[in-house]
Amino acid sequence: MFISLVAVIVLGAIAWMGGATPGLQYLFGIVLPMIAVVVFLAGFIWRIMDWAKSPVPFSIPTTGGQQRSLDWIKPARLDSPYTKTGTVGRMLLEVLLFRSLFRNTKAELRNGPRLVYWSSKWLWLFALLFHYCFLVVFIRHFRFFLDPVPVAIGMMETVDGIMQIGVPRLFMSGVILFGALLFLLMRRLCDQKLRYISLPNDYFPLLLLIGLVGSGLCLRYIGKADIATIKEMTMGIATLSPHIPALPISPLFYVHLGFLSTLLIVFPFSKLMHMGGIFLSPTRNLPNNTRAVHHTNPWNPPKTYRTYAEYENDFRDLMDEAGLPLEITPEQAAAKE
Amino acid sequence: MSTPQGTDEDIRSGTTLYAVLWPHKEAMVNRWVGVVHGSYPFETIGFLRTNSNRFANPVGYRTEEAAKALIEILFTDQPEEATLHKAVDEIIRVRAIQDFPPETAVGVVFALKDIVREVVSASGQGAACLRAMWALESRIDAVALMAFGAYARHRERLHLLKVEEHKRSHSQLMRLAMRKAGMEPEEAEPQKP
Amino acid sequence: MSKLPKASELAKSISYAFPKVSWMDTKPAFAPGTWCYPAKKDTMEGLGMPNPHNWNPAEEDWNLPENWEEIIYNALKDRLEKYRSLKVFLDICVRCGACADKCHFFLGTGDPKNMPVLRVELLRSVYRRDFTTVGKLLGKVVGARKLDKDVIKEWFYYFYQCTECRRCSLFCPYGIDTAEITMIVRELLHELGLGIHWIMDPVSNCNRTGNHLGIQPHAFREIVEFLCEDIETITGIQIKPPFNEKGHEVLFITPSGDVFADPGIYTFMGYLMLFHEIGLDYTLSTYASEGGNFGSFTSAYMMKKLNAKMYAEAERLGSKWILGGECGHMWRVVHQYMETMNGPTPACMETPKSPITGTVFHNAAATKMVHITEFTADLIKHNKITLDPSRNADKIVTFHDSCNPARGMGLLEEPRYCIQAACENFVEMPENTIREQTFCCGGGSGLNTEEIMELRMRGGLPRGNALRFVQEKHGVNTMACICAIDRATLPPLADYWAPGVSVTGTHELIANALVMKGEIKRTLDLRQEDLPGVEEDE
Repeated sequence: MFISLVAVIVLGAIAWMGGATPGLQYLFGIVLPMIAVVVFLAGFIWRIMDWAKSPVPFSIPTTGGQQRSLDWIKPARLDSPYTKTGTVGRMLLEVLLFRSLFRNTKAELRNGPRLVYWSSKWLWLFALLFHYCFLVVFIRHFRFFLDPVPVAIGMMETVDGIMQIGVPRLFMSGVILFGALLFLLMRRLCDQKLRYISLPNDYFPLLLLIGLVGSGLCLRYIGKADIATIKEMTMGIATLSPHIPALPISPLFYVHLGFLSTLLIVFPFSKLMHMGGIFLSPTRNLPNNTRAVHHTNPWNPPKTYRTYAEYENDFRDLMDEAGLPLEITPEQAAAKE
Repeated sequence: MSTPQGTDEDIRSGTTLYAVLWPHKEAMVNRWVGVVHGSYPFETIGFLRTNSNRFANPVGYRTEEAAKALIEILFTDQPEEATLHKAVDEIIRVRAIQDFPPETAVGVVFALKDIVREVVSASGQGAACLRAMWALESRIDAVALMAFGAYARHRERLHLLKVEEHKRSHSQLMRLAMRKAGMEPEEAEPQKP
Repeated sequence: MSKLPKASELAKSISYAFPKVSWMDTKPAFAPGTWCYPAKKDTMEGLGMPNPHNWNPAEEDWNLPENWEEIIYNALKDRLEKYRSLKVFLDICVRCGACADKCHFFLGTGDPKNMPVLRVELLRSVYRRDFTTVGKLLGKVVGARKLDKDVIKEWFYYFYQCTECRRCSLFCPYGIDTAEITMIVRELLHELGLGIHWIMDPVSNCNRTGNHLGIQPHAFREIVEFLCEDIETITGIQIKPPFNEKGHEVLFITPSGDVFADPGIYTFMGYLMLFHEIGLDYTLSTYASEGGNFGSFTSAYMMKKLNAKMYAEAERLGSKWILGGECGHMWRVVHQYMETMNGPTPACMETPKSPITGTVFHNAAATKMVHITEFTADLIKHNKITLDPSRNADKIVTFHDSCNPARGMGLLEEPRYCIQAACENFVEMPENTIREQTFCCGGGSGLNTEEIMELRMRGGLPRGNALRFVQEKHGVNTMACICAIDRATLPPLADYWAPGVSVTGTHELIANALVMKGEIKRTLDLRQEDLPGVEEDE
């Protein structure tokens, strides 16, 4: 935890200095982000390719419900999918709604002395909030890279700011995102067993995201950064004609950008790759039809087993005595020798 | 009244002790639960403490049930033996197989004495409670004996389980061997009724 | 002079502080009752296992082969190239903790390394250092550590405290399956010659004689004939099951525990009675007389080797399809591995079709193997057998889902349907302890050995606790199951945690209730105890 915190602060400080030093602005504002994007894309693809390189020798779905067997028994089409469609459905539930995480709460509702039920439910809820708000914030940021700004983004912003608080209008997504991140961090710090299993590389992405979102919130609501100038710079990157705008930009923006670049660079080499990995998880992405449909193991070794002939050779006389049918009678066997 | 050990009568008449302990009832339950949890390796304690679902955390649940029953003996005239017995039995059943030395497995019962003494001495009414305390501590000793009995019983059961499992897993082989030796297995080995 | 210990010191020992020592720096204590006896050198040699040697878990030196580090490195590299599951599972865990309190061993022992996430972390930490750049560069900061002999010991300790039940996998948002990791770590340990007696001995026996106890064919037959004598005593009906006979439609394979061990034998008698009653054209085999597959607790190679006999025997005998008895891990192997490993099926085999009802089991079109509760549920549904549930009227039954059929197959309704047709009183255990959320018996994956009885009782606590609940609340006195390991492990579990509950196979209940053509008036159940209502009649 401590190491991660120091690392994030140091990163932020470096970015601040970079943003405040005129000569380094090009490096921190343009070169680094562009490198980061390249590293992210290349790293992401490389990781997926690397995983995909290893085969799936066996079809091992974890079944979360009734299999399809007899016509009159109702199968669980999504939790124990028999078809490709069902499997896609299961994956969608998993990716979009965190189905497995939601399981945590189901049974506890009934017998439930409070604590376990709530804490589990919180994990599902805040994980979901975090991911969706992050997505919304991510999409909202496209307004900096597209000109004219697509109508869809405008509509999204209207909904996001529907509470009509403050100037500039408060976007719920950003605030919830920040809150969810704080919850996830507090959970790691306060739940004893979670704290025991957490590694510095669990805290680092969390703190980095808190820094990223925090600096973003500051830029919008407190520092009230000059959007037009920032857009001039981001459009420069987007159109591949990068330049540092003439008007000054707050160093805080460079901190924001620095955290983002770090996140992009770290992403492919960290646990954040669960984003891609979940699609390749063999306990989820395969249908439960393994007795009906052949699954190929590319490295299936040749069969070596003790054959019936070897078995009978060992036990022939005993089997004969017991009246068990034989392929070769003791007499035939004796005659051969 | 003249017996030096103190009697149930003393607890009944020991309204002072009752008055001293009553406000601390819940605190004493929690304290004792804490002692039981404290007997586990400390990485475990957090989980035991924060989760009291009967099925998701059987150990924590049983501990709490036992604590509640145990504390009752401080406050009732005639402790309900069956309830107490059950609660003690259930918690010792768990502790008997959990890698504790016997003295730790059973010893948690005695911690109740310390808890009571702490409350009483903090109240400054120690002298007035003396006879009632004697009686109470005898009760706690009785519970400890109960726990000792449960521990012995469960350990014995554990070993019996091994023997019985072995018999079950070879039942038909024994039968075959007996048959070959010209005996019926029933003659050779008494079956479990 | 040491101080006299005081009970009161316990009260002072509570610590609510967070643990200060990282899990990487704690070592397991090899106390008796927590580890299984090692496999014999001869057994390992006989099976051609690598680096067979004598060793003892309680001793400091495990006599590892000289180049043990290289062996592990290469073996892990090989598995990473072979299993996408391993690679993905090692990379994507976010340590969210959703699995932590789902493991029965964690719930029963409280040992933090029994949290599934940490169990896998034992391997993951080594993987990070040896196979990822970040881990090589940053070491402990990113949870990487050097492989040393203590790590090997830790692996042995904790991966033989995992029963491959997959309960954690169900709750994991990425489906990370500790069973998969356990199977692979056990493979790695076997590369160093480290195996346990209770697994390797049955493997060796199964390979040689066809069954786990090493019973030779003639004795196997004789024991089955004992059970037929018992059936005759109970029903007055003589049954002569065919052995190793060619030309029968169905080959029947069940775990050998059903033939040798109480209370499995009653389930076996149940199968035979059912087959007789419906006139099934089947044969047993002494060569393929083991449905269970302890090879699956050893390595993928050994699993395949033992399983191969099933199709080989079906081919030799010309069977059209295979009917499989009640067993847990056998069905994981059959359902998810068999056809991949040892298919395609022999030419003589066809998609299974019940000769009694005409139902075609399309769900077994490739493997051509049907679970007996699927088969029996179909019979009951079509009214092909007569059941008299009053013969089980004295039983208040609950059903224990075995982990493998529940989470590796999805066989949930079929056994329930059978039990409810054969019994008057059926009660479910609490919702979060059954079906896909079922708790393990504490002895799966080859851990049902008696030297770790204490550990098994700890692991069995969540199941025992749920059982105790329905025992108190509904008077449950019988727990049905569909697994031979369950039939071995649940009786002690019930005896300890819920004394008074007896354990039975599903087909024992069926056969008790089964009204057979030409039977005498039944007064005894399969255990030769009085049927309910008998005493009052006389």
